[in-house]
Amino acid sequence: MTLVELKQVRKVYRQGANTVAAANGVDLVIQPGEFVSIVGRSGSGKTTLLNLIGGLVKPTSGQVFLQGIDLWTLNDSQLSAVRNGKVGFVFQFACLLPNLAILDNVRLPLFLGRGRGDGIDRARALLSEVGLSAREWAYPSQLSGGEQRRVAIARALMNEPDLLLADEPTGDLDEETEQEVLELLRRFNQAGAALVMVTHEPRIARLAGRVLTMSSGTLRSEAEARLTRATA
Amino acid sequence: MARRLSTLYLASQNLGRKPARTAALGFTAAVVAAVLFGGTLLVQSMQRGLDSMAGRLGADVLVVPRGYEPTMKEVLLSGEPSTFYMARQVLPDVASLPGVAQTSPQLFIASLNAACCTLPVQLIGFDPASDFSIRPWLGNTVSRSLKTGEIIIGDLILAEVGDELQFFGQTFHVVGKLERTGMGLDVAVLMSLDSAYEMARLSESKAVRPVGIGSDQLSSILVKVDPGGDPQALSANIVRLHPETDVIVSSQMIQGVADRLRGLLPLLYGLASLLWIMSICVLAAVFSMIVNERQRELGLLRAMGATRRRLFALIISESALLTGLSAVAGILAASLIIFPFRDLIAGRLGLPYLYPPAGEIAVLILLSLVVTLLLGPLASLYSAVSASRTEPYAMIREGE
Repeated sequence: MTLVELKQVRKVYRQGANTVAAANGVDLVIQPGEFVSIVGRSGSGKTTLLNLIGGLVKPTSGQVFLQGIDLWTLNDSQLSAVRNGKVGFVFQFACLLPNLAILDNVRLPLFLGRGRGDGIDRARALLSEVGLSAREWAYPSQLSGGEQRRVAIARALMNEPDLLLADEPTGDLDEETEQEVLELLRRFNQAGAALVMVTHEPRIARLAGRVLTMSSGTLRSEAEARLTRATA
Repeated sequence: MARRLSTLYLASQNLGRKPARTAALGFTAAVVAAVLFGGTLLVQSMQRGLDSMAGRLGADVLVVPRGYEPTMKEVLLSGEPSTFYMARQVLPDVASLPGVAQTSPQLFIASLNAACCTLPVQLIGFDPASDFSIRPWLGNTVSRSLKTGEIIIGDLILAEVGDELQFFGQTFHVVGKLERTGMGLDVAVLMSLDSAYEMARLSESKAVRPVGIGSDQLSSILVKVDPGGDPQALSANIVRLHPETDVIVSSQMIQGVADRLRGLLPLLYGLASLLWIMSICVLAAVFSMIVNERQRELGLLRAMGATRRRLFALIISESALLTGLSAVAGILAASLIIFPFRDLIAGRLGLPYLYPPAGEIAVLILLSLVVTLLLGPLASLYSAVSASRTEPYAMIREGE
């Protein structure tokens, strides 16, 4: 079954008297286990597209399907359950809760989804996979940027999602840490979760199996984008 | 040791994030709880003391020597020790007046320092045969008449039944202790009129400073008016017959105190309401600020699968936890002032003062807790509704 399907999705934002189409009739299909990267200039609409896929933003028109479920026909409780159980988010910033220890940050999705158990074993296993098992009682402020990002990845994987959405996951990291984070994401992708990553770095985007380009709210494949650039 | 995550745990962790701000907010709510609980308990205790006095004073009219009306009120209300007297002849004259149903004489003597008390106490001689004023306070403590040399002590006198106390060089046996009255009787020592006269007589030879009252004198006459009789008219008759006396109509005296108390009530409740409203405004402003500065986190929680309801519950729990704990602290603080310093407060108030029964105090505690606890959820309601209605990514973006 197709994992993600977007049909003629439009998202229009109002900016005073003007309207801006961050997504303009986007069609997209993502298969399970696929690694897709979305590139584009700042303001091209790539983050909006990622949030549309994850059900964080309601489209102005069109439909978003996740495993065949039309997300915006669901009520809040059902949609929250989908976000909680099927999607993992890694944002541009680590965005950890500063007052919770790392272990608690990682197992938070389990609590929010009313999952069974306290999730400690799973959270510890994930922290071990991202190389932070020795720091489970540290607080976010005690970690480096790269470590925080690794915790955010572990948290995104807590409920074993089918889809991992990463928005500029290496944006503010040095080269060495960037490689560590990308390696982690790739490893989890190879373990079965589909990965959709937004980036403005073509070098990073090329790690994906498919590269899509977002430009003024319109989505194209890399080949189409290259053709457009050549004829322009 | 990892603990199970819960809404309350997350709320408590959030509150601990900025301890100074949490403490300041908590202090505001604690003051509301303390004023609500402490103030209401104070007024209820005064009302109860007053009701108790009105119900058990017994006398419709009190006759005292001219100029001693304020002194008599102080004796009755706060037990301020005094010695005053008038001719005993007033008693039969008053008793023979039309409209008088019953009379009973009393003798007031301020003691010198006694073993029980660091300060002088009020000794009251009463006539057990005609008394209708002291008897209701005795309960079941002493069912027989007092013999010479026997005394009954007020609840606040530091002695127990079986003890011996010395007054004016003579020894008295404590045979009973009064229930708490909330009035001057709490710090008084009662003896029969005969004992009092005997003490006064023997004090001439035994005491450093004699009492100076003879058996032809008394301090006050308590008068019960015939059913349907007019205490005002009777008091006018008494003063006409004995211009050297003053007459206190008890209903007027109690009314005066009740009026003072009634004047306090709106002030207290007004102050408490004002504080409550002010606290809501302060808390609402701060909670709105807190929710705004945490937009990104709240949006992230939604992205991780928190429902609108869960987000709403988290914000409300945080504010309820804060005001709930503050309410407990405020009530505890008020209790630590009000209960241990009961006698000091009663003395300062100069009014009858009786605590309500434990059940009523428990209800008052519960009400104060609930009213203060509600401050938090009410103050954060708007922020919680607004946050739970915002689209998750809009919150994340606003927080960036």
